Amino acid sequence: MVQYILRRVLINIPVLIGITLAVFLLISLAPGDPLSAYISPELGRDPATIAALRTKFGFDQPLPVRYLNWLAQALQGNLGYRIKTYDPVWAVILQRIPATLMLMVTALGIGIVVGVPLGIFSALRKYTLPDMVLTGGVFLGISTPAFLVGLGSLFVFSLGLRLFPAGGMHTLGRDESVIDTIHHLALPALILSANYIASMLRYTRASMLDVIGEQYVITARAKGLPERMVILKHALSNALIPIVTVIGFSIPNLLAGAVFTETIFAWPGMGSLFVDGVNSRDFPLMMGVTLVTATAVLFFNLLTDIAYALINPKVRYA
Amino acid sequence: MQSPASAQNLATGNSTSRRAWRRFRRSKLAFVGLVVVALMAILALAAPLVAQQDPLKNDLLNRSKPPSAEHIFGTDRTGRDVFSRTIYGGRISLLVGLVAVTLSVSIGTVLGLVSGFYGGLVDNIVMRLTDVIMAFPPIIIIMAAVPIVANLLPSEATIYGIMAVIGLLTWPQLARLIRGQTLVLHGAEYVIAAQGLGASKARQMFVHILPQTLASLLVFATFGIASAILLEAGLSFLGQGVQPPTPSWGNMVETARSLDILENLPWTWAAPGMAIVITVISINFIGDALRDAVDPKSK
Repeated sequence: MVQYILRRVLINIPVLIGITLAVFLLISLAPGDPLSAYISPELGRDPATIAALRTKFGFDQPLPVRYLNWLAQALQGNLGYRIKTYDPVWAVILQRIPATLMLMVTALGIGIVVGVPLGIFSALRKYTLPDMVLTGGVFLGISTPAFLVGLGSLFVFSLGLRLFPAGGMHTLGRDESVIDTIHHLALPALILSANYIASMLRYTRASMLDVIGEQYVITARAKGLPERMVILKHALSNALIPIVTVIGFSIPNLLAGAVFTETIFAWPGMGSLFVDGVNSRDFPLMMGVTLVTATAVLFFNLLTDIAYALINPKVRYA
Repeated sequence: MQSPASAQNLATGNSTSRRAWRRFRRSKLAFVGLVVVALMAILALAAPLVAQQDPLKNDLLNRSKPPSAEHIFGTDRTGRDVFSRTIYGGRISLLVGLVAVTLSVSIGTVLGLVSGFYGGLVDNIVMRLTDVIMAFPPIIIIMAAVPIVANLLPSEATIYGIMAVIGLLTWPQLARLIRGQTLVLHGAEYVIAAQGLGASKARQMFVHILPQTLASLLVFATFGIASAILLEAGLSFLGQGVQPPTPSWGNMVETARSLDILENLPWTWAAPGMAIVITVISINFIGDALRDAVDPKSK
């Protein structure tokens, strides 16, 4: 197992280098003088100082050298400084990560808790009316962009029924409380999970249908086990194995979805930060978020691979 | 020269592709999807005939009017006809979908074939490249790239920049798929036979192997159009895509980010919003039926 984990880590190193190369390439192509944004504002902002500092930091060197200089800075946590406010990008991102994680974990939880049971139900009632209704729902779920679900729910639940607040993380002018945060979190998390419920349902259904025809399920039935046992113990535990990977490869989609839901609900996470950055053409901020999200995706993929190997010994020894 | 696939077709009359076609035709949802997509395409092509009102003309006497006989989808804040804007917006959305997917299918196919065929270092480089691109959530890398590309292009060419960026960043899944199939087909007897007869490498790849991968290519392209349409809509919704006043479904929905428009002028965003959902769901119906039809597991 240790060997397997080591191998997965090693495979990911060139990919991580590739990610930094891609981000650096984008930075180099950005208009203006993007590398100057990596010089600490405390060292001065007048052109003469910047010119001197550029030489000192090696920003006038050939591209490969510039890349290495930039990488050395990035590894030390210097992702540059925001264009207008001069806040260090890494500190700003760090501040926003908890809110995004809270939103994503809640959405993931809702997706699994709702999607998996519905998928099992749908598979067991294959081609009946409830199954067809759910399959229709899945199509609607994967075909409706997060921003439309977001606006629609805002229209119905916040403006129409006034059940939920229309944005933010806390009610202004009131003390922060857990209940208040949950109240603000509910609608964006539900919206972010809509897509995810649909894909969980779809994969669970397919995976269940694959397993249900297997010999060992027939054997379990033939032994006279009650149907509940057959489904929940024998079929489900094997059907869930591929589902683990679905959780992993949904992370990029959840991050993308967070960009929209956070923007619509003014949720103070990385997604809305990124959109702010794009709108104000704040390249260091944009690239910082891009780098952090890609690294996070890579990390979660690694975790998924390991989790998959843990529950499925066939992979480990392949 | 006939490709092996079509030669086999003629010989047996009950080939894999015919059986797949028969399975595809059985799907009612796919039929509905095809009809809707065809309808959308016709509306987009015939936009000037269908939508009589100018999508860009402000009419200050008829601002913010709900749907009526004259303006069936109502008018927006500046009195522009929402129906016209939705139809013209469809032109952009469908065009972005088609062009972006053509680009990503071309790149994905060629790199997948080359990667699977040559193996070794080439394969390694291409596959690591797919790993790198797939690590970026699509909307994030596209949002980061579009302002940079737009900066290099004249403003009226931004839309082509968007198509190019979407196409350049969405090919990895297809490349992996085609690579996997090429790896297998590379050792197939008919390919070895072709090699023995002196077929060049390019010929083996494009004439002998490519036709066998067409099924998965077609499925990818179908779903790809749907996701390219969603990406463009999302991009425009966040203000980075098609720039107003040119209408696109995404930037029409974007106006509803103002709570006032969201609450008081629902027709201005519901119409383009429905257009996105109906188009994308129809394309997904087609894609799903195609996938079931070519999946060897479903008989």
